[in-house]
This record gives sequence, structure tokens and C-alpha cells, in this order.
Amino acid sequence: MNHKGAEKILSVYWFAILFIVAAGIVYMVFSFYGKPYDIRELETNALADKAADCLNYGGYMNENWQNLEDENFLSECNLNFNVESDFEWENDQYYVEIKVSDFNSNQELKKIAVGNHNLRLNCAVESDNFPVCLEREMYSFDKANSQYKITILSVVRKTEKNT
Amino acid sequence: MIDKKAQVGETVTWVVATVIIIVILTITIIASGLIWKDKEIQSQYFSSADIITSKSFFSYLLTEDSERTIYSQVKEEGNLNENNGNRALRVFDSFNEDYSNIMLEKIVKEEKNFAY
Repeated sequence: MNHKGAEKILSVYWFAILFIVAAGIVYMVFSFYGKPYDIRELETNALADKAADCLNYGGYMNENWQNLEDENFLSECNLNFNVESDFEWENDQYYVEIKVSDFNSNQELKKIAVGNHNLRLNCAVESDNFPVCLEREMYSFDKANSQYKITILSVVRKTEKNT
Repeated sequence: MIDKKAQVGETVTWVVATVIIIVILTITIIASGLIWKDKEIQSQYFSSADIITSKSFFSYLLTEDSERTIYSQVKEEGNLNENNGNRALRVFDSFNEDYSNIMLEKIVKEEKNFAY
């Protein structure tokens, strides 16, 4: 009789342990797969690279770089910011700002800014819930040997999708 | 009396086993939480080359200084001279943090006594 009672208690104990272990595994799996990968830094890099490609090719400034304006930058550089249909986003998750300055005098020669301008304001804040910003500098020159410093700022928001 | 001792021994075994199971489980949960805290994929995992830096470097070498490209100057002289060394310092100033140990930076740093 005593032996049977002990077995009953033991089986309850085993179920309790089984439940605890299963709950632990479920928690671990959920904590890993429940959060998406944050690829925004990759996206800012890709965006900056595309912008750099558009201005500089083969070591020289592209011949038509002076014709680039806010209005035609996306089409000239084969960029499309309207690619996210989730969360009712409409073309407002990206921002690119390019400043071309004279390398020697540092005088700003051209500024191009496309995308959601408000995103730039959040660049000072470093948090997962804010846009990811990347600023790079590049040196280039044209065939007349004029030298330029190009500053590229790329910003990606898409917070809901990456955090 | 013997029965009681046996029961106590068995109970202690199970208590110890339970403690071990819970400790291992807790360690695993904490470790997994720490390892995967930031699921942030950084660019260096994927990009094989830094396009912006390579463009700058390429442009720098093709820049004409004293009617010769910097590439041919460096090739002939075997090192940077005052002019192209100073220019390198200005061009690659913003890359210092990422590329503190590349060869050009080393040459540039050695030549940092140029007026800058």
C-alpha cells in the first residue's frame, strides 16, 4: 500500500519536472524565434553603397552628377523607396542625404535629400526603437581633376519589422 | 527504522535531482537569453568589401598630383611623399577607426610629421 502511494507521488513529480523542462524549452524557443533579426544596419550600408555607385564609378565622378537633383535622384540611381507594403508604410521608411563638397575648400557644392526627411531628426538617438543611421565619407574626383568630398547619410526606419 | 532511512535517502536523491534539473534549465535559459539578446545582423558578416572605402582609395590613387597619378608616384618612389602623404591623411581621416591597421594608414602615420 505504501509502495503504491510512493509511486503515485513519484509520477506526479515526474509530470511536474516534465512540465518545467517543456516550459523552459518553449520559453527558449520563443525568446529566440519570437524576435526578428535586425537587418537595418545592412540596409543602410546597401543604401549608402548604391548612392556611392551612382556618384562615383571607376574612381571618377559620374559625368552627370551635377544633373542629379532631389526629384530625379531615385530614378537616375535606380532606387525605389516604395517597397514596403507592411504596416501601411508608404514610401516613408528611408532617407538618403548626399552632400558634395570641394575637397580643398570644403565648400558645399550640392546637396541631395530624398525620402522621409523627418527620419534624420532621430539620428542622434541610439535605440532599437529609432531609425538606424549611417554616415560615410568618400573621396572622389572628376576628369578635370577637381576633387570632391562626398558625405552620404542613409537612414532606415522599419522599426516594427526589425525589433 | 531501516525503512525510514531508505525513504529519507530516496527523497534526498530526488530533491538533489530536481535541484540539478532546475539549475541546468535556468543556466540554459539565461545563456540563450544572453547569446541571442541582440539579433542584430551587422554588415561585416556579409560584405566582402567596403565599397565606399575602396572607391575612395581607387580615386585617391588615380588623382593627379604634379602631373602624375599618386599610384605612379608611390610605385616609383616606393613610399608616400610630402604632398600625397598629406592628401592621404585628409582623404582617409574618416576611415581611421575602421581601418587603423591597414598598410596605407601605417605609412601615413609614420609620415605624420608632414605639415598637416
